[in-house]
Amino acid sequence: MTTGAFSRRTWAVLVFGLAAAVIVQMLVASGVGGESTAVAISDIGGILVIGMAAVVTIRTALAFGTGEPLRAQWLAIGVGIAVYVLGDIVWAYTEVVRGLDPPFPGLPDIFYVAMYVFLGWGIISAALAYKGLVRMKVPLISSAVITIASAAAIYVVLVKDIILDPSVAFLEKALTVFYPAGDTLLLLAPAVFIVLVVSQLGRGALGVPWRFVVAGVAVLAVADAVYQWLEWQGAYSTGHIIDLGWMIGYVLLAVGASVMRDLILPAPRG
Amino acid sequence: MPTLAESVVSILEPLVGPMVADTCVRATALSLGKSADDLLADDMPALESNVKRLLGPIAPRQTIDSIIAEMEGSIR
Repeated sequence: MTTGAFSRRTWAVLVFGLAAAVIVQMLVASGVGGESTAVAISDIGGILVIGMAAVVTIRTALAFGTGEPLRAQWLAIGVGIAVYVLGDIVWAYTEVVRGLDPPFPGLPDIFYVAMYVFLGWGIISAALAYKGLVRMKVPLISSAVITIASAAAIYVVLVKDIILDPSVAFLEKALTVFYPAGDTLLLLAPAVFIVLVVSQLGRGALGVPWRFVVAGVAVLAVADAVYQWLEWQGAYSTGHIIDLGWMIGYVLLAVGASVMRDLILPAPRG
Repeated sequence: MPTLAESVVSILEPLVGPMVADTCVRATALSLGKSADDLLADDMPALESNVKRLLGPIAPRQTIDSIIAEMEGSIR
């Protein structure tokens, strides 16, 4: 049985995805075509890169047979990425086509919030699938401790001041708290849990896809936290270097999906 | 010559690592009231059933079928 090497598809997703993200960011940073062109490149480039990640992940899910638990797990993750792309499309339409500043909170936030539900559910159900095979108690306690520590740090550094700021409206406050809280509780906690679960597989190939997922989620969580802080400071604008974090985070999720697809072995003969 | 348990562990190991591979084999042996080293070719249906049950939620079905075929091949 050979499970060690990545397929050409996986390498293509990794290399092309990262290269595309960096090229988009470099074009934006160069200011080519003026400010409105740079905004269009940033918005549409992000949609293309993250959209590619959604397609790769959903295709992976559909490569598993109907009724297979892996199909449901990866479909949830893929749909989570896809609804995030829908949010980005609405954002780009507002900014590029209508020439307006996307409101915060606004319509894209509905899709961005929905992403947490799908992605979180996919990762949690994947981690719980290992019940009966590996120890769950230690990963559960460890991820809870890490989550509480991260949540406390985010509260002190970011959330506390925003909650106390009287110039911030209620819905804006609620969403500003939800995003870092969602990153910590719905993405980072399940991600830490699953990486601790699959670490018990040692060098077992089944652990590899989830390591990419955890790396992706960690990048997304950092990008979100920095974005919230920049937004609060009024220092964020489309094309900021932090946009690269979202693109890379979702590309890493797609690479995880592709690595899982690599583990489908040919059907035995006869 | 490796025992059946050793053969099955070595087949499962690249996918699930040594600890889980060992768990799969020991769990089967335990359910049959045996130790892992006492497993014989006659115990293969129980081993296959346990591998399918334990790996079903975490591994592609086609991969599990391929592993089962390899396990069967190891006792021929």
